[in-house]
Amino acid sequence: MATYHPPWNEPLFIGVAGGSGSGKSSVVSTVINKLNVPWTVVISTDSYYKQLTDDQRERAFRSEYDFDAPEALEWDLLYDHMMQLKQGKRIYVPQYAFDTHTRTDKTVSVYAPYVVIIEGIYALYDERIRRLFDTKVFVDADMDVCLARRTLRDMAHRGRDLDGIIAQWFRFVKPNYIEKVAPTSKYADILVTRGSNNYVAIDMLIALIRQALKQKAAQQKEQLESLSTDKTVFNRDNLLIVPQTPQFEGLSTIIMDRTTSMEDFIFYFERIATILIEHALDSLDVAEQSVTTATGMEYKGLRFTKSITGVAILRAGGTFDIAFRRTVPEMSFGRLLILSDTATGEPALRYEKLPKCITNDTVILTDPQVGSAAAALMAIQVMLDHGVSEKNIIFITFLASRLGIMRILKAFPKIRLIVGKPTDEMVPRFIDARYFGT
Amino acid sequence: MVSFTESLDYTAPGLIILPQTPQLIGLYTKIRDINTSRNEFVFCSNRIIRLLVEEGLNHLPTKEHTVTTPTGETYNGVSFEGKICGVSIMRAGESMEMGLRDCCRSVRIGKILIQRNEETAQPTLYYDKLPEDISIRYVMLLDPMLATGGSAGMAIEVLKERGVPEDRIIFLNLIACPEGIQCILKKFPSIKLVTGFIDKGLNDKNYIAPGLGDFGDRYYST
Repeated sequence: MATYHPPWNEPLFIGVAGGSGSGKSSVVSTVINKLNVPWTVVISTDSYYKQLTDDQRERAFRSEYDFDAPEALEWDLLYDHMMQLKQGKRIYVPQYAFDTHTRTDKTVSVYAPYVVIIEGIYALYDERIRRLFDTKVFVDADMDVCLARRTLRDMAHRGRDLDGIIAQWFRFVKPNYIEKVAPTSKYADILVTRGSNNYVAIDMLIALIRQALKQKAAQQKEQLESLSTDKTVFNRDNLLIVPQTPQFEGLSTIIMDRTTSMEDFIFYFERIATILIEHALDSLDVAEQSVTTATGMEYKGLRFTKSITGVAILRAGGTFDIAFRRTVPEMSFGRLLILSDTATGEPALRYEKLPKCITNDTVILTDPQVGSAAAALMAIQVMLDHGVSEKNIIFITFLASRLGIMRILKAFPKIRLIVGKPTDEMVPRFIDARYFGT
Repeated sequence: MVSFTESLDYTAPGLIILPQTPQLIGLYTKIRDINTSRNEFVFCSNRIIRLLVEEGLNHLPTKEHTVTTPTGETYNGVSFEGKICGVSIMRAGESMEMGLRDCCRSVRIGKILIQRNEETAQPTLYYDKLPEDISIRYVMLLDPMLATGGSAGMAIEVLKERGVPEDRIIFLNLIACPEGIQCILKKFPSIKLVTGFIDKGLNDKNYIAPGLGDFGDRYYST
């Protein structure tokens, strides 16, 4: 059976450990800035500080709670989150407020990263987590430098006073470092001395990440190829090619004609979009519904049982918006922006905003054109990652290459695919440019 | 298995019934329900009307037409032939004009007002205003309910008197019944009749049953 793995499955995990004030954060931010790819995220182990009891919080305010012991962190949660990211799922990273010593009710959602950097003094401490890292880094610095940096940071950003900071350093930070943090340096693949000034070490890290991203791009390409050569017969029952009526032929001709004015193009494309949407709505789940008519008689009809969500694959998918609002005004809308990475040419998810709780909805994905199907496959995967079941996904498109159709239905045999016009060759994108005029 | 009542399966030359999809049945369920709000009635009717218009337009001629695509390829398509106009039978037919305009932006629309004479129970022509060149156009005749076929028959007579050939008339209608269809297709065998649903028949007040009552009253809230 053909399967699809999005590029965010099995992200590259990099652990960056080192003493407090050793310069971990600046090493990480130097790497991130130099790398300049959007699908790299940094998660600080500080986010995983345990929720304190009242008594512990009291002690924390008196600087008597040991934040520098590994027990202060909720390792199980961090491990679960890493496992979920490995499977391509979305996680919600907790936010810890240092001034109140509480976990806030806000979270930061992380989804579909290619590279995940986990940074924190104990990043290499827990054995289960250590095993998940592809690369382990330890940032080393002189203890005096660490104390000086830590003092400045805690006074500026964490609302602590000097006495408290000094007391904490000698009571908790330094002993913990010597006893528990420093020994984890033996697990490191790269030992970074002198922090972010160590360009050799930083360049090594960057090269490593670039290599991993390149490999991912190659894997994606290979996967698309294998979806075309794969011998499994795809399920044609779930493919609907819109009846090629004289009207539909005529409308298609107007869309294909380069001399069509922008005004006409928009008008006629919306007619096509409405026809495609009506076909999509025909495959919704229904239940019996009897009603009484104005003549006092009964009519045995139907009602729809699921709510529907439209998800546009931007920018082109937005060409269906107006037709949707006219046909199903109560429907909620999600957006996915999938762009080709200029370096590798591979499509990448750059932005997503989905309605909450779409798990039980029927989702209609829209994109007026399907070529290689790389973006379509990715969009379908995003829906599955958000708990939508495959059979509740309807994908509508106007022009789709036969190759793209085959790839989609091989990778996701249960989705419903509705196509206006199948094409023998891949047609370069033009509908969005004509519709939006840019 | 979900069961529901679909349109009578009635075949006649020139008669086209929309495919009885779950979506269409769902829309009909809404507009038939006496408890449906007016907003929803209007919205669901408009969606059915749009489907009727799209189907009606399929019966216009096309001819082969080759174009160059924005990407520089040649595309062998078709172009629409023939001028059209809409003619609504007042007042219920006017509710279908928007659906027609949604597909054909600046289409000309003529009107025919026919009322039933209370004494004779016969339909009488009160008023008409039609495009002057109607004889060279295809006519989309609009009337949501086809009951006895009295008014529709009279409207078609008017169109024929103005020189419109029968085979250029496409009659769009939401709910019909066998009596009305027989009446129209017997008198005008060459017209196209596009309907979304054929009900069982007429009740003793000559309303379509189960029907949905008076379409104009529900659409215009009178």
